[in-house]
Amino acid sequence: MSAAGNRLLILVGSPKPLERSASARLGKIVGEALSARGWELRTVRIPDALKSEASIESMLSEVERADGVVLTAPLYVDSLPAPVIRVLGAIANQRADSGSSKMIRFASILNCGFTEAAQNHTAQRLLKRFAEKAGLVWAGAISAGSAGAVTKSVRVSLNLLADAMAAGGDLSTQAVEREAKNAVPGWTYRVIGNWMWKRQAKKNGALDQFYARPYT
Amino acid sequence: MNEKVLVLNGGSAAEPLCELERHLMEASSSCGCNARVMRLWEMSIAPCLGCFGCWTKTPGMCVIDDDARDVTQEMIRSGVVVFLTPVVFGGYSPELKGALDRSIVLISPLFERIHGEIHHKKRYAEYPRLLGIGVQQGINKEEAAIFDTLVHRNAINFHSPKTVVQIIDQRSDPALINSTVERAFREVSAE
Repeated sequence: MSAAGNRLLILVGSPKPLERSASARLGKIVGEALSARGWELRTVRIPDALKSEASIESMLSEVERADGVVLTAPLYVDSLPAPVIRVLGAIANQRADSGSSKMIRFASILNCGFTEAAQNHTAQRLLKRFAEKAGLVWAGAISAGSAGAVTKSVRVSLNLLADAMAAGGDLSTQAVEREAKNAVPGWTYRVIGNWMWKRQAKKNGALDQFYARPYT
Repeated sequence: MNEKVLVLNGGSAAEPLCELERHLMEASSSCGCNARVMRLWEMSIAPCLGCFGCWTKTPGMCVIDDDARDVTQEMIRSGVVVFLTPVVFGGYSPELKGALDRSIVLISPLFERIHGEIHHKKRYAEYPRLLGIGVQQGINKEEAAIFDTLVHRNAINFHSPKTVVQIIDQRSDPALINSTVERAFREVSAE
C-alpha cells in the first residue's frame, strides 16, 4: 500500500493547550513517524471541535477524509473525558447516518496519572467497542502511565503503533495492544507525587487548606 | 435505612430516562429514604479543565463556579449515589461523565496503594454507596461487561463502601423494569 496521499487525523482529547498537553505530545510521536513515511497530518483538539455546530461538522469531515485516526487522551475517572465521549457519539452517528463504508483505521493512546498503565484498560475496551460500532478498523491501543511520561518503552510502543497504522490492509491481525512499562516503581511514584502535590499547593498559597473538607 | 439518596440522571433531552427516575424514587421511598434527582442535562456543568486547581489552589472545591459544585456537594452528603445513564460504548453518557469528571474534588491528590494499585486517598471520612444503572435498548453483553467494570473501578477511586450494578433493557416489560430497579436499590441500601 502506498503511503502517498494517506491522511492521518490526530484527535486530542485533553482540555489543555496542545503545547502543554501530554496527550498531544504522545500523539505527535505517532504523527511524526507517519509523516516521515509521507502521510499528511491533521491535528484537532476535541474541545475546539465542540465549540460550534460548524466546528463539529468540520471535525466529522476530517474523520471521513482520513485514512487513519488516532485518538490521544488522558484518563479521567477511569474513562474518557466527557467531551471525548460526546465526539465519539457524533462520529458513530455520522457514519451510521451517512452509511459510510470508507475503511478508516482507528487507534487510541491513553495516559493516566497513576504509575500503572493498566488502569487505562477499561477505557481502552470502551474505545474498541466504539470503533466496532462506528465501523472503523481497530488498529490498536497504547496505554501509558505516569501522566504520559515519554519513556523508552512508551516511545517503542508508539512507533509500533505507527508501523501498524502504516501497514495497511487487514490490520486486525497486526493490531498492537501494548502497555508501556511503569516509568518508576510504585513507591517512588507515591513519594515523589505526594511531595509534588504539596509543593504545588504551597506555591499557590493553599497548603494550609490542603486537607479541606468544604462540603462537610 | 433512612438516609439521603442522590440520583444523577445522565439522560438527555432526547432520552430523559424519566420512567426509570420514577422507579428509583419509588424504590427509595419504599426503603424510607429521602431521594433527590439531579437532571444533569438541565444543569450548567462545564467540562473539567484538567488544571488540578481543585487540589492545589482551592482544595476540595472546583475553580469553576457552576452547578457541578452543587452536584459534588450533594454526592458527598448522600448515603447512596445512583448513576442513571444510557450505556454509551460500555461507559456513561457525556452528561453523567461531565459531572463525574468534576467530582475529583471529593478525593485527595495524595496517593496510596489499594489492592496493589496506586489510587488517591480519601478527603472525607465517609463516602456514599454506588448504584450504577445502565440503560440499553436490547442487551449488549460486551458493553454491559464494560459498564460493570467501570462502575466498580469508580468505586475504588471513590472509596465507596458498597457497589451494585444493574443493566436495564428498556425494551423489557415495565413491571419487570420496576421490580429490577427496586431489587437493585434494596441491595445497595441493605446493611
